[in-house]
Amino acid sequence: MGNSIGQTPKMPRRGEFTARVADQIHLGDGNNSLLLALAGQPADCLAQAKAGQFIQVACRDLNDFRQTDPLLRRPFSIAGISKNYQQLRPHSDAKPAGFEGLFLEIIYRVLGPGTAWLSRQKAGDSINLLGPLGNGFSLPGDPNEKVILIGGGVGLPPLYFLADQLSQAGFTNLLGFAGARTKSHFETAANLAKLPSDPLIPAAVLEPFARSKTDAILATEDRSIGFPGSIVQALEMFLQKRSDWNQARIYTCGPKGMLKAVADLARRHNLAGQVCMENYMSCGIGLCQSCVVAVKTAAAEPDGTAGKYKLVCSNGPVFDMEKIIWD
Amino acid sequence: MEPFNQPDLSVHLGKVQLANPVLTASGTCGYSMELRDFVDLTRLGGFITKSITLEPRPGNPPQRTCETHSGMLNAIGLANVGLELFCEEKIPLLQRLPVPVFVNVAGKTIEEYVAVASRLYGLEPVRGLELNVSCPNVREGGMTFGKDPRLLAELVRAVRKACPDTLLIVKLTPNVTDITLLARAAVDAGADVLSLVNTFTGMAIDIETRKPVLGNRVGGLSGPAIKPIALYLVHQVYQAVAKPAGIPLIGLGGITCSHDALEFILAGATAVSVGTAVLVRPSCLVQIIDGIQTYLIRYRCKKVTEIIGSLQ
Ligand SMILES: Cc1cc2nc3c(=O)[nH]c(=O)nc-3n(C[C@H](O)[C@H](O)[C@H](O)COP(=O)(O)OP(=O)(O)OC[C@H]3O[C@@H](n4cnc5c(N)ncnc54)[C@H](O)[C@@H]3O)c2cc1C
Ligand SMILES: Cc1cc2nc3c(=O)[nH]c(=O)nc-3n(C[C@H](O)[C@H](O)[C@H](O)COP(=O)(O)O)c2cc1C
Ligand code: FES
Repeated sequence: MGNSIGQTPKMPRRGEFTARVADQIHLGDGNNSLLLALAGQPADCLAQAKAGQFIQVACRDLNDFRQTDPLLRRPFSIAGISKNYQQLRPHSDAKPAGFEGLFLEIIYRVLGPGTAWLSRQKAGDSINLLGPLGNGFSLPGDPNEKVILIGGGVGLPPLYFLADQLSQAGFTNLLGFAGARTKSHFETAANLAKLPSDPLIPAAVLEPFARSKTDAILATEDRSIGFPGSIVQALEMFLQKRSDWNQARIYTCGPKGMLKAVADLARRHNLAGQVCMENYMSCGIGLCQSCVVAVKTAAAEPDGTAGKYKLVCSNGPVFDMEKIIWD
Repeated sequence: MEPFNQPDLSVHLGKVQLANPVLTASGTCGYSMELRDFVDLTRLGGFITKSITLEPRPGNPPQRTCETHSGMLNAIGLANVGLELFCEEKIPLLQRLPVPVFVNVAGKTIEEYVAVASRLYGLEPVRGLELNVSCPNVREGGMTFGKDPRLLAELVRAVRKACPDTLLIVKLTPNVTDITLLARAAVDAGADVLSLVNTFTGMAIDIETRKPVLGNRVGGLSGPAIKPIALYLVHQVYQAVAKPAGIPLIGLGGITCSHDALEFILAGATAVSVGTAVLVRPSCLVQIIDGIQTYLIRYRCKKVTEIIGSLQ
């Protein structure tokens, strides 16, 4: 930092980059994993990314000016980064030829035009992105601390990346809580044969956590597998049974209702933690003021409100849990 | 040096010279620092800030923006840090920008506009003020300043008086029946430059909840979807007001590439602003500048000023 404006710093923190699709696989329940390959300076830049940071992906060819839909970029959390292809694709036999440098994974659910476009991209296709954006999770100071990572649906990817970074930083007491609508969400990622008969017993069942030595507890809302019900209920019951985890640090990402429930639970159990918010965004880089979330401030604001709007894209997406005003 | 390989891109907005005709649009480019990792800001013709109001404004409740076909709706509610914090925190950053800076000013009353304008008057590095007149006047039953020629003239005169020799840009709203009436009122009251257009009022409805998508119910449409209408309005204002009065125009609305920018210039715009496209790809600003240069070389024009308003 401290670069004067306009000068190109030697190693920019972030930028606009072109990545190439290395491969793309279906994960089940409409979820895909897209592996992007970056080389040279973009790779150096994204190699610095922290879990919780995201990229803004153009879901069209920006150089074709007749293509204007979908107009805005789509934000996706970074699900993993590695120079080693096999780390992100443990089940693939060989690295696809012609890709060197850095691999970056996003995991997304096909919902509308942007994600539909992404799902059609093939190995070798170019993808324009901005990143890494926002502020990532801050890791606890002491690697002996117990850490709970709880996410639902498309909120899980940043937690997979966080587990990886925690484990690389020497944390060993990591526990994942993964919620989904239904069993097929875990189709490819989970080793369901290893699932203990008691759903509240952690096990190495979810590959993206297991590769970071993180056991997991699963829950499905349709009760098709794991804990029957919401993942937050599962955590609540787990904490009742396992007092050894009642000092754990909590990290969470997922739908807003789930985040609020986790924050409530954390408050009741006196646990500290961070949330990764996924508000509607237009720019992702602090230009448009679209993505606001109300956060508590020490004193009342001049306008009389108790809180203040912060930008999820640039002040977040990670916030201390107790700061968010949920309604 | 081959003259046709180095066309002169500089233009004048009143007494302020721009190195090229490409500016940022208000509200889509922050206070400049937000952009610096994504585009070389030193290349810009000029920088126009987010609207500044006398008091800080938290803005509207979310959802504040929503994508539409080839466009977007926004109802940000003029969220901004307010005049004092702007002067304290943002002005020093803008001072480091080596291009002319214009501050966009908004208000609920004429007094508010005048208070903001007077404070910014003569302040380095402010080269001029752009009045956002798409705001309701609370004293006049919420009538939008920019929709009523009498109100608009009164506002422009008041700011002109408070800042006699600052470059005064009036940014017109397209949500009127005859924009040339408003353009003429602004020019007669002392505007040096007109910029057009601001966003077109629109809305989107969530058919599942049967509620408006935007927290504010309605918002302003921008992006490629509005370009043909914005271009037509620039054409009208150029022919009816700006050309006869010798007043430069800043054209904007849906510009994403040099082709779009050139259409506005041919229609009579001396400069162009880029808004929504910057939200998607900040580097488009530089592509637009380079594309204008390529066009001038292709048509062997020595200066960009040769083609302003050269529509046949
Ligand atoms: C910081 C951040 C990180 C994200 N990370 C991921 C991720 O890792 N994986 C993933 O699958 N998705 C993620 N999302 C959500 C993702 O951006 C949206 O699903 C995507 O933009 C949908 O685009 P679309 O064109 O396919 O669908 P659209 O037609 O744009 O939307 C389809 C549906 O999704 C809803 N939607 C749109 N944007 C969002 C949003 N930002 N948050 C929640 N719902 C939305 C819409 O209301 C609509 O109902 C993230 C969002 C943010 C802000
Ligand atoms: C998110 C957003 C915020 C805006 N904020 C302002 C503003 O504060 N003041 C203003 O005069 N215009 C504002 N505008 C309008 C733009 O400056 C511009 O007039 C309009 O978007 C049309 O240009 P475009 O199609 O290139 O975006 C805003 C537009 C957008 C999309
Ligand atoms: S998405 Fe534009 S400011 Fe956050």
